[in-house]
Amino acid sequence: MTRLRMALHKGEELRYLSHLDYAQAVARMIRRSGLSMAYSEGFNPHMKISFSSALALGITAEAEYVDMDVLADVTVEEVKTLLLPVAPKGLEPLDGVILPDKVKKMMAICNYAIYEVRGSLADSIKGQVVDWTKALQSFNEAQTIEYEKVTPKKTRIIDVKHFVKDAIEAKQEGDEVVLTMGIGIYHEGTIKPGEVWNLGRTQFGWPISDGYVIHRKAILVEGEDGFRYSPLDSCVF
Amino acid sequence: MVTLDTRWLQHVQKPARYTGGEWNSVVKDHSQVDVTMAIAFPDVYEVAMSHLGIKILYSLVNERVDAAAERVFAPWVDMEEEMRNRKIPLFSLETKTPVKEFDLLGFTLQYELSYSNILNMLDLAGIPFYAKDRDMSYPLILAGGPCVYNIEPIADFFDVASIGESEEWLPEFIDLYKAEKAKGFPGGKLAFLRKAAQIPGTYIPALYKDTYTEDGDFKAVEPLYPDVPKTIQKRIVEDVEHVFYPTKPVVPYLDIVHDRAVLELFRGCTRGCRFCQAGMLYRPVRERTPKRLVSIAKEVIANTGYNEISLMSLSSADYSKLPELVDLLMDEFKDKQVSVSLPSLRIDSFSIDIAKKVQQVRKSGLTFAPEAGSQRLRDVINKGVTEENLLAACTNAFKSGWHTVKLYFMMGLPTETDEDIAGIADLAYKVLDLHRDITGKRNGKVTVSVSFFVPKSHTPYQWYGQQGLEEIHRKQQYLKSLINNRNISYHYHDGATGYMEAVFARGDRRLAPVLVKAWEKGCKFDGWSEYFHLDTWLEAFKDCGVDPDYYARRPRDFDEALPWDHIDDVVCKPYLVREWQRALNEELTNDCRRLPCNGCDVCPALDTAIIDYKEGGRVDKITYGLT
Repeated sequence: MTRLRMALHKGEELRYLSHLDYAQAVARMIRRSGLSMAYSEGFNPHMKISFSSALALGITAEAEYVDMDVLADVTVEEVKTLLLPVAPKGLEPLDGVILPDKVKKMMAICNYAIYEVRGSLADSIKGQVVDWTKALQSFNEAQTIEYEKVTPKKTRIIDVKHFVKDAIEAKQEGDEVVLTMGIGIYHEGTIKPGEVWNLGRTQFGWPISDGYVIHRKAILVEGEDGFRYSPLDSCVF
Repeated sequence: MVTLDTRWLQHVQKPARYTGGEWNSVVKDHSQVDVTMAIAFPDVYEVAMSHLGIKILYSLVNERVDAAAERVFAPWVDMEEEMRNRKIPLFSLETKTPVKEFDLLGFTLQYELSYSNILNMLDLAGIPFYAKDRDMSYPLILAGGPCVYNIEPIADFFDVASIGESEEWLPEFIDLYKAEKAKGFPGGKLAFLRKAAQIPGTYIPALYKDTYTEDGDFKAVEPLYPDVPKTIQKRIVEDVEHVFYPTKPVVPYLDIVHDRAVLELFRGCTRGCRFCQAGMLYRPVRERTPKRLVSIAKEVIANTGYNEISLMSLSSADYSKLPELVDLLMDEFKDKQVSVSLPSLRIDSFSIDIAKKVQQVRKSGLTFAPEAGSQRLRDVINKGVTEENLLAACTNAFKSGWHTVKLYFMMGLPTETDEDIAGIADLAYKVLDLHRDITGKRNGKVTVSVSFFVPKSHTPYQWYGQQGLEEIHRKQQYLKSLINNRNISYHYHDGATGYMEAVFARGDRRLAPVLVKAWEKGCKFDGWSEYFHLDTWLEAFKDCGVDPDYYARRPRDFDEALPWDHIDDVVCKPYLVREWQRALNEELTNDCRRLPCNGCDVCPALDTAIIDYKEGGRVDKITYGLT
């Protein structure tokens, strides 16, 4: 048996897939490839694959990572070669590593994501070049920011800066801006990039309009040393 | 090309319904093909994508290098609102091309209550409803599917209807369209339609005129030109073994209603249940060989990555080589984690043995359709199963570890009395008691699901006046009062949808303005109970001065002209009349598959025969039509 961690794209074509839809699309792609996979025992056998995150509907990702148990002895290149011809557009295999027998669940170790959130400038300042350092300053320099997080189950107050530790950066492209934000994903929760966008717009006066498009640039493992590693980096296994 | 902006699209429900790009979907450059066709299903993505006919025609057209087929389905109400606000016309999933720009727009007519969605889709596409208001700058609007056998209520909206199975018809039609398009459609739309009418199985509503008696009864639908056929005979594919089968179906990203590979075992059903329109329309029975089916199954599984394959037919347990097929499939897929499912079970022990084989671990529940609660009424409808059959099947099932049984019934059948209704409750209790006797446990579950019978054209019940809604509501409550056990759950629909379905199932062209009126008043997604509003429909009828009871509830005379008389499913009228009389006499008619011919006329009229591999293939026996 070979245990692999593959990086797969979640491109524009797959933007509107929920996590479960995406997982099913991956499973079906693997089945089409003819790779002989390990399945769970029981009434309803499931292909043994697991993901780095539950990527929400509406968000594309540079790479989503999947751990898979292949019954045969295979190399990453062989798996890529098998998957590529049966991958739908937007779900291309990118890279991978062979894993040791015992690894921690990716969901448990991936604790940092970098998002690019794109949207239009507020109507009132269209055509102007915004001083983004200044516009983002009060948010970036704040020690704590209270935010009322509303979920279908409950409403609670969280500290946004607990999750968004690094400064948000902006890159203006004509009348659009891309905000790059790093967000921590912890046991106690996280904050969605769209929530940060709206919070900035309504409470920090960011000159942006309310519609946005989200792309996840990276999902990473922040080690105790403070450095961030790719899930493919052997030091995270 | 339509563009969809993520900024708003991500906020509608399930945006993946509208974005295409699925595995096996086919994207072609329209400038490189001669004919483009949008294949439309008037319901939401998850329903539409579950339909086998769409899969067949989509792949069939896309096999051609000179044609492109794309899909278009009804947008859900939230998406429709966005589209209307943003002035986005109805578009295809593959290339996001406005539907109006296609050469052909083909709708499948599966269900009368989807008609309001057809108008809504045309409106969203910016296409005038009435065929007479459209020149060749608009796509030709095509119809196919079971409801074309009485397309009259919506005939005025369509240019062309394909009667019967379309796999051979559609390529012929596209060939003609391509040739005429190359010549620039000499003589315009009318000339083209008259040429198209010469293709067997083609009904062109505009080439016929409907007439009525002085009393306002339907008189006839007659051709306006001498070269147009008086009646249109259905097309069938005689050689189902070798006909095209879609082995690269589109694999949806969303969880659709039937999200699995589909294997069509055979067409037709000769059991002859008198209420069943499909049983009449799809005759004769034509099977595929197990060898061919296994080879199709292997290809579909390899091309899709599905882990389940469903054996589909009108009555799959009637497939003559079922045990052999199931063994072959289980053998083929045993190491590949592919399960086999059998959606329609016959009520007998044999079916349970097959079900045991295919559901080795997961005993999810069994569904049977006794259809009526008493033996008398089951004989009336020619269901041909007895209480003993049902109890024997359930005995086998309970001994084999099943605990849940679902029973389907109909209410409002001809000659039905309260005794027959009470029989439904009796049967449910008997099945539950049986479970306790066999297992010694009290965890058995029986679900009783009762629908409202809708008389359909081309069946022995086409003359029957549907029972009134009040009567049905009374019977529903009566049955409810008889079921007082927490292990029996009883489900029923309001019945109002069944009433509207009955109106359109046997309507004539005078219903077209009513449908338009109902749509104007907001009717759409009528098949979804949360969107069906009987009051709005009744208002539309009132505004148009049309009485819905005239169509649904009025018993018709045998010698009365029927609005669907010119659409010939080849089952002859004397056979239907005799079946009606036998129903009243509670007489059974045997299954003609292996017993003598009953004289429905399908085999001789089409010069064909039943294909049954237990009998060695083509069954040559004396067949005839009653006169």
